[in-house]
Amino acid sequence: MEQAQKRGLTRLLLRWPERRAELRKKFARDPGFAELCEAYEVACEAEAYWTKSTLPVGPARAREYDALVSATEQDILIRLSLS
Amino acid sequence: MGGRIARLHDGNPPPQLILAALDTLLAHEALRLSERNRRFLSFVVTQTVAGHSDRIKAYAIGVDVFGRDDSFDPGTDPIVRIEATRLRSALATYYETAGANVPVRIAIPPGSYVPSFTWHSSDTGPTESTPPVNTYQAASANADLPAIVIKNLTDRAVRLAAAHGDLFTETLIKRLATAGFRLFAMPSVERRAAAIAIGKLLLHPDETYALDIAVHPMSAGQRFSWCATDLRSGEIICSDFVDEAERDVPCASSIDTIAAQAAESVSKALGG
Repeated sequence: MEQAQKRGLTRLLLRWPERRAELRKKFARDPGFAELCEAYEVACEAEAYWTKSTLPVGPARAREYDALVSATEQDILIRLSLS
Repeated sequence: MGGRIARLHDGNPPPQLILAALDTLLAHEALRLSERNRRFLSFVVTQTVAGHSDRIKAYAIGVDVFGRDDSFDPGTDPIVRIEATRLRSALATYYETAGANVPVRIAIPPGSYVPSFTWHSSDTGPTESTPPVNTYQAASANADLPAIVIKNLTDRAVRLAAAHGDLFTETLIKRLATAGFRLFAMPSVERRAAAIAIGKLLLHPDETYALDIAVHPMSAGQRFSWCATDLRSGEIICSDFVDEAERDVPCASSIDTIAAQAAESVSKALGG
């Protein structure tokens, strides 16, 4: 779990390089934020999985997870804005 | 017949307050949740309140809330896990901001999808402005006395009982208002806005009691009943009834007498 949180944080550091200090600080202090980082990582991995899937439902699932990745990014930005 | 009859809940918020808190939460614009995550929250709360928390598993949520089919595999399709985290975050954000003074809190602890319900005390008082729906507030309302929400449960399909129930309610209101209580009448379903406002009032149960009344038709007359409940504990504070034989003469005065008796017992039980 903790590894998934760190992988999620790493993705976010790459996603928003200008906010790296802020992201690291929030990650260290807010367990809820770390859980969101994990959810982000899991959503990104699921999107990659379904994008490669050959199942009929694959494209729909890939679109759903793509939207979920964006929605989770928004959650992270909101959480980041809280002191 | 007055006095404390039953303790229904111990410690945690009673089910009716949890469901009222859920309704208020879902109606609040500050809670950032997608429509399906609102369904997710409703599902886990209502299942838990109904005593079915054992049914709250990733598979059941995936199928019942997120529309997955029987082949749903949370391992390759972690939608429930992700949305649960987003839901937790939205709830945490809400309670840190707009919902900071909400007395009944709903949370979904990490590692589980079963919600927890807790009382939250506030030193700063309520933040939400509750519309003034207390039509019957007396000029002499006593700030030391609690508010009472009156609900007339008489079956409206029985016309005579319904008419007598209205008379009973009116006199009770008059008597209790005179005693200094702040009074609220639970409106009909058509008056939804007032019902929502009263629902918010019920979220401050330390100051509010419910008074359910009814007129029940019987074979040779009617039963006038009343029951005051402490919303914080679910405990019945005062409950009684009077059976009135059927008469040919107008009965308004006898209803007034029964209502006076009810008002006196409720006032006494609630410190008026």
